[in-house]
Amino acid sequence: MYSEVIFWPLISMLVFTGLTPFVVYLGERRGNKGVGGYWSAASFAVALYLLYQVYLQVASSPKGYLEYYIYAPPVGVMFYVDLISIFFSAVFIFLGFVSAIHSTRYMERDTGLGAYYALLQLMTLGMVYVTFTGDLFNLFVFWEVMAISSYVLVAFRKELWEPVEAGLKYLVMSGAGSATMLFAMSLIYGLTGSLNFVYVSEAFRSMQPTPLHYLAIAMLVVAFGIKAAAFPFWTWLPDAHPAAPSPISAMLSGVVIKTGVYGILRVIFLLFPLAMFHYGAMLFVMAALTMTIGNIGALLQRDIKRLLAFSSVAQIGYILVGLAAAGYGCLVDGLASAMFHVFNHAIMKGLAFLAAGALIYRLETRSLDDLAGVGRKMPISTVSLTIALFALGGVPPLNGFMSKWYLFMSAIDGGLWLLAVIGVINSAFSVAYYLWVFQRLFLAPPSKLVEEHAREAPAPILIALLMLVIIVFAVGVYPQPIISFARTAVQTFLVNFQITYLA
Amino acid sequence: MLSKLAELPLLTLAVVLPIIFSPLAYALGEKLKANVGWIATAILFISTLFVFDVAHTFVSTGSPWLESYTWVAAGRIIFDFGFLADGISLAPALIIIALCTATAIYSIGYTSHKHAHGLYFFNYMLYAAGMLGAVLATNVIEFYFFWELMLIPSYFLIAEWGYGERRRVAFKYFIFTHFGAVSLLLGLLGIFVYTGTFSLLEAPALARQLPFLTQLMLTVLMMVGFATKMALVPLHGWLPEAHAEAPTPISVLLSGVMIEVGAYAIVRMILPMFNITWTTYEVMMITVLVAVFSMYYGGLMALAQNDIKRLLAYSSISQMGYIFFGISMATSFGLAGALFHVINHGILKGMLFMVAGIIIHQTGIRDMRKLGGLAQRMPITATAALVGALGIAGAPPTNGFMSEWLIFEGGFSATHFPNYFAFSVVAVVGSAISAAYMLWFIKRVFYGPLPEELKDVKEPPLTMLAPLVTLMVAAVVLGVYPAPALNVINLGVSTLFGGG
Repeated sequence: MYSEVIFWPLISMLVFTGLTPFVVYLGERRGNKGVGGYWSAASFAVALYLLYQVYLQVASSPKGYLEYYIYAPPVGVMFYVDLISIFFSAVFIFLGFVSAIHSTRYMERDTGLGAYYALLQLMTLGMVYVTFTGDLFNLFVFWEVMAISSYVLVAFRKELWEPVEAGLKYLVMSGAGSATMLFAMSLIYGLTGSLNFVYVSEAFRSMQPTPLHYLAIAMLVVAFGIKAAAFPFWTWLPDAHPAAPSPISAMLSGVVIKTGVYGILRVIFLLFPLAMFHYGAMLFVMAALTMTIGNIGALLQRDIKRLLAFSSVAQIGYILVGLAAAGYGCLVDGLASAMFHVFNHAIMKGLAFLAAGALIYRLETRSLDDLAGVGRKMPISTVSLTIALFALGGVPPLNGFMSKWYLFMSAIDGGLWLLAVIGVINSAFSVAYYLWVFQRLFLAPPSKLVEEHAREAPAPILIALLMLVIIVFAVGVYPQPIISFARTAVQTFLVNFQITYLA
Repeated sequence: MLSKLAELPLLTLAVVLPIIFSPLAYALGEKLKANVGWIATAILFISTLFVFDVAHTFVSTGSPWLESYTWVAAGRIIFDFGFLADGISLAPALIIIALCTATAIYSIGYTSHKHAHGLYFFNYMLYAAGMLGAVLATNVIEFYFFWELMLIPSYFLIAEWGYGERRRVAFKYFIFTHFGAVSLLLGLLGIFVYTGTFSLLEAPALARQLPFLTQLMLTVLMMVGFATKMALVPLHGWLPEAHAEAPTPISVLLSGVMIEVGAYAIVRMILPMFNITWTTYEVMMITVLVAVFSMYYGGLMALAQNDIKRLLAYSSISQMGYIFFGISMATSFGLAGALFHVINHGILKGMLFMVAGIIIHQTGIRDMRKLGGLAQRMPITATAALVGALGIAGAPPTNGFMSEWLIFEGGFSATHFPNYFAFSVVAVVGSAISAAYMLWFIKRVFYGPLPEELKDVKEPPLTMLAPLVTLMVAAVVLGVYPAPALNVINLGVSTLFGGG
């Protein structure tokens, strides 16, 4: 067993990231603005291949995980990789790959592309290694790598007012989240004398709950909740995601917020035994309110990217349904359905933002009034956007339908009838506004802007869209491989750490 | 040759082929224009052959035809999916796929002056597959899957190729049926909650043991979905506009078969699962009242229409009332009649909408006050219209007579329902309204003086005429010799009461 394989993606991405500014510089000297995108895509492709090598090692290891200690326990700073890590990182890197291809043309009018592509890779690297850690120290380090890169990317177009304002709001809220996480870490360290997941969870099992434990949970939930934009910490998202360049919006909405979900799934479920700390009710309330607020907010939008951003809030609510179900005892299916929806949402929301980006690339507007009737002029982009919207609405046979079914089923399995009903009603409600968007884009008479400027987006953008469209359909029709993978991952995770519902 | 075929998963192929080949229609649409419809026709015709072959096997062996696969297996949550052809699902399946094929040919002529043929036939094939899949589904998720698959393409078809205020109408249609679908989805989830299975083969035995209130709640939730699709009063609001403003071939399918998928679903799901609740006095009071009210309301509104397609649309509400009457009486006669009327109404209303489409296509007029005397100019169309009208009116020797007779017979034999006699009499009297609006429709369109500007009207192209004549022949043949269809249906109804 070669545990060192854990570092291969890190090394490869760091090398690629370091060389990015030179490559972009050389490319721009030769008049090629897209080279950084292809370079990043190559970086992600290599990282995916190396991740596959890690997966092979994980799959062949007897316990189903790899570990690499930097400091021995009880300090226990370590890297830890199991199938859940592989699942999340594969999604992160793949969406990064697609966004990089999309960026080759989308970002061609911007300057400072060396920094842009380096930050894109660095952010992805941070996310991947957030899932590769086995202790809170490493988690925090890579969390900040991801977070700081994403602040800069949101405010990338710094000469405009909106991105800077949104970026600052994001920075303040997310920074507060990081601070509470740090505080929670210090509390946990004080209680147990360690930051290592395994060690802390064993220590917590033998203790009686004290207010400090609950304070630690609360602070971790705040930190992860802010990142995931769950109720009541969602307010930064509808500003930040639309303000970023579209490929970055795709990354932020598609995967960055999923690190918050990962945090709840991995850290909270692992460190705090459910039988002792009943946090299912909290997840229930967060799930119900997050999806409702997201859907109501989306209904009021006239800006395509803001609408998609609100829909991300709603979708996080659906994912929380799975976590809440797990909190009520449906552990395997609850967590697996949440992971399945993480995968699907990454694909469909990535598709939605990239397709919206294709429209914005040509028309330079986000207003649905100005985008009216664009469907006839840019059929491939607009149809891709429509497919993404219907998938988000949970229309069969697209992938969003399958994961929503699975989520609501596990909620019912966990006895959360009410939450499933709220989810179904929300989901039906959301189809109505997605349909309204569809009507604006396809059926309304074309606006003046559309008449004059709309024509189909360039090939790299379309290739990025088509890759995602194919996955949306393929997973919708045949979801079994992803579901099996997620279930196996969750099962090994639960067995390895002896996580059960009842003590 | 057919014996070789029997080794293939015919039903799966019948549903999947149109889905697989739908992108081909889209891709070739630019090049072939309306002729791309021949591809759709060919594919749907193959599907039709497959379903007929299955029907043949079913009649000769008497055992249902089941194809089953594992779709998703995640712990307790197992989705097996498959396709089942038995006495209940075969009748609707046959009429759906046959009418879709005939209407595909009709669409070729009809869309010759329209735009975006590739997209039209792309949606058309998906729509056909959705309806066929819904009636053959063996599992409630699969059912919902196809239920939505028949909603979305039909929404596009109305919104893009319809008449008048097509976008608003399509949106209304979508919202109505989608909210029906949400209620249905909650009911289907409930079935899983209480029985622990999604399978339509296993759920009935378990669902029958549930307490009355649970049964009632699930029945109501599911019925809202089905009744919206069937457009029973008071959930009928979307139908008159949607059916009138849809492109005519789609009106044929909407009125002819899609709304009957709702009727099928009641027979397939609610009757076997909740038959005790369904036949309690209070529930029957409500359902029979809804049925009779739909009959009268649809009929009277049809009398008041001047627009050809709106008249036919309201007539569909009334006819759904007949079918629902047969179902709510829950006798073997009534159910056989209802299922047979699903076939017959598909044929008859399909014909009449095709006639309406031909008139609109050839004259450009929809208002019956401006029409008249067309029998001189279009004798074949007029004959078909007459057969269709007589069938809806329930006159022998058309097929409509046979099924309406069975439905009323079912009403009169429902002795478990105290008021059965009174309601059945009311229903029979109500059928006079059908005769009235249908014959008046014939008189206003085809007889009387021919207006000056219609002197040069001709019969439509062969692609529009051939499907119409085929359906006309089917209507008369089924009226004179209904035995094959009734054999299939009786096998299904007897399992519903006997074995199931």
